[in-house]
Amino acid sequence: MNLSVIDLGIISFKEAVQRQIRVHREILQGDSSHTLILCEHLHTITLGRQANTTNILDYKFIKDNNIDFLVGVNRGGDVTYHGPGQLMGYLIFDLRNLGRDLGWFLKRIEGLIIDTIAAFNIQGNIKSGFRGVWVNERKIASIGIAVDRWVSLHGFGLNVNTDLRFFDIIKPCGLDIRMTSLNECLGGPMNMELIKRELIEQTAESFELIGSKEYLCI
Amino acid sequence: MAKVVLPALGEGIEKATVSYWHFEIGQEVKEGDELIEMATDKAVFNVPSTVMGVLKEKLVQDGDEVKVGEALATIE
Repeated sequence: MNLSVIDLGIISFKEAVQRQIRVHREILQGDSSHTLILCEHLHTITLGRQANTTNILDYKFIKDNNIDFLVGVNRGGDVTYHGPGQLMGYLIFDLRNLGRDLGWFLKRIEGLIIDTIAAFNIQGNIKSGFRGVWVNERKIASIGIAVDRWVSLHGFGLNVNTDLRFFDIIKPCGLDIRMTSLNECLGGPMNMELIKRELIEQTAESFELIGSKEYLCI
Repeated sequence: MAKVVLPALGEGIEKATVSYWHFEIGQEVKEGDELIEMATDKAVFNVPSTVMGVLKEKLVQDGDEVKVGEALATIE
């Protein structure tokens, strides 16, 4: 099975959702294979279906800084922040031929993130009772997916060079936690293109897919 | 009369919470129609109707926690 990769660069959350829906439809119609969409977003706060609005700590900051604010996003998880420097990986995967196993799929996503950051000498872990990838007690990547007719949407956000101060305006995932980034862990900004390449390789490996060396930049 | 149950979700996921119903009691549903949206801590998904018929009973309500294998609805 093949892995298609689409790099959308910096794009709004809404546009990325539209693109995911298009790919999702193509997969259901049999016109596309498993697809990894990579992008970064403009400053955005999103709340998943089960989110609690009390986990927004500073509405004034959101309003004053024109941060996109989206409620009821069709993904699992509570509230989170997206913005420049955070690498989004949207996995539009056909779970009908990957065992129809949500638990396995979420674990694989965590695994591929751990393997990606390990290539940059950062030891990531999973934490019992919590999703996402952690470095010591700080969270470096958050996960939230949707599955419609056994084809997945959404995915994860990996903090590469994210300005972590933006997480102070929320309780990320509804938890009293600190976030971290590759930049913070390694003490300097990271080359996003290198991270993308590693992530593509680890995604293909994790799901035993054939990834193309060249990927689409749209 | 057929019961729609919460299907197996895979490794380590034994329950999910009802998000909302796509259909009302008395409405006709086709096999494969998305009947109800469910959520776990990090995933949302739709449970389809397994048969064609009329939605007779909603056995769970928004916010209810349901175990895998438990009945969600009756279709007549």
